[in-house]
Amino acid sequence: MSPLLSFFSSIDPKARPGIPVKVQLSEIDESMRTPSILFLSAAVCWLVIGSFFALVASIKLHSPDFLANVEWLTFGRARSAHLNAMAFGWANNAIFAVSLWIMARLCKTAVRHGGLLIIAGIFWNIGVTIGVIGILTGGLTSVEWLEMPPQVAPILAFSYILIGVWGVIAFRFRQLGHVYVSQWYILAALFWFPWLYIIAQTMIFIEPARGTVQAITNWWFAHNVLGLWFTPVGLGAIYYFLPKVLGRPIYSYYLSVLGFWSLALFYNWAGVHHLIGGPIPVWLISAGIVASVMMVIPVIVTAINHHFTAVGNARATWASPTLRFIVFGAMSYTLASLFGSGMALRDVNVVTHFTQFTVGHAHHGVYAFFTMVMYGSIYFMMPRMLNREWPSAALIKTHFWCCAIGIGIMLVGLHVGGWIQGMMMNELTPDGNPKYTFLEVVHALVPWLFSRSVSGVLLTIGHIAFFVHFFWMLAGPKISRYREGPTLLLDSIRGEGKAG
Amino acid sequence: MFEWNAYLIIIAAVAGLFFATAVAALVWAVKNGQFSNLEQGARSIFDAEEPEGIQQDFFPGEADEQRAKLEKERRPS
Repeated sequence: MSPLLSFFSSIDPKARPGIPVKVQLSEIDESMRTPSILFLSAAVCWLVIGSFFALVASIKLHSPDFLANVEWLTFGRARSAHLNAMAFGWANNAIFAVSLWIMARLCKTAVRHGGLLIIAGIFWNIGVTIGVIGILTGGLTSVEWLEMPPQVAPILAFSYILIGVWGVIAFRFRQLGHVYVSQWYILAALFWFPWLYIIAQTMIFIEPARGTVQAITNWWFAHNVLGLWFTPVGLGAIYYFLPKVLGRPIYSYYLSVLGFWSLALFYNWAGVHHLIGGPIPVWLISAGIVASVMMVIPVIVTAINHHFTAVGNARATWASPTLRFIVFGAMSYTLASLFGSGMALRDVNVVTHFTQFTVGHAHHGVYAFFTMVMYGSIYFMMPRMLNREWPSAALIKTHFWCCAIGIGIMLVGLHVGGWIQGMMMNELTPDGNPKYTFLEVVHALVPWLFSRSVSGVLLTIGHIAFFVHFFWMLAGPKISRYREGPTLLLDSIRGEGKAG
Repeated sequence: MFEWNAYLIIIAAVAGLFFATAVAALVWAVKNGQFSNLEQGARSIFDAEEPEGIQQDFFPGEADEQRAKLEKERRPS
């Protein structure tokens, strides 16, 4: 057998008679341990780095003198470094860990050749590091969400393919006939992200499209990164952890399936709503608006499902660190998505476009929904992979409250401030001239921008608590304190005995 | 290379292809019988190691206390 062929057959669990096909969850967790820990460690480091850039960018908006003489921290660079460190460093690393882990568990297949995953993960993070340094040294592009110098794209694309393919392989060799809704979400996301990334890179940098088609491609990409990459993984995680932790199935599985398919069929068009009023064909904008408003269907469906699964279980939800974060994220998903559909309407968009409202909305989706869900997932995964309990309940609570209050302040500040900003910019005198000068609008915005810096400090404290806790757990003693643990088989059996 | 509206056709084709793959997956799922027993499908996440009806996650050090409280709350119903 050629080496390549024998490699491929070694991936198939049925190819080797010696290996039992059906595996225990704990074995799957074990097989995912090293790659997941690598991704999560990188993710947590990027989270802290990204917070630093966020704080710098936020403070500069209301106190422009801050670090004004440091050329690699000008506002444009710090803001782009923040976005890319968070999106490609934190979010993607967290997605790799969480989605592959959930996928392997639901497919009931242990991951073989985890070494490849580790190498690909190292290359991914090298790519992101080069990209962020490129941004800080002034090599950034002017394309939002793709600011990294285009030269790193091949590294990222190639290492992504080596990572994402493991989700597909796990799916291919799944042991259960039924494909659970989280598997659909994650499998779809793993296909969608390279599709988006490669087409955007090609049509904007490698073989640039002419005219406003570049802008259309840009927003098709940027919006779909949220809607077809972060969102499906976040929802997949909610649909897995919410029923799993509560120990009761999802309220209406039928609705969750409906939600997935309506997202898969219609979301793709929504991104054009970022160009409402722009010089592109009006039918395209209208199609984008229709798709955005149609998103109300999967959002309401998901909201009903999440609500009725958690309702009546308030104590159980509150007693679990995982569910505190996940339910916070699920509630934010509903709100953020309904806001998003509203903002796509022309009459609303005329106020919110080019204001801080949009920035607030982006954080609503990526932070209050997606990032909170990832925190919850990590709190569930880590004890099971390491056979060890989190060292400190107090640090988890600190993390939760700092993040919940911090993001709350930011959302109120940016939504209200952004709305005021939009109204002031649109306000006309009776003879049809703008009522306020641009500078007056900027001055009116300062207190709201300041509130964002306050929230940034809170969020950073939460992130540092998480960082310390994460590495404390990694370095902690190797004793499994399963008596207190939520995690282990022994504990579940004990619980079952009690219930009976 | 092309006129700008030619790129518009390319991007519309890409979006159309995207839609087509989603439709193909949906057709596969229906034919495969994925939607035939949703009640059972919803329970496919539970197994012997993490069974249905057992809360799986608590704050470290609070598991026994919280579990007792939950039991107490559920008993009357």
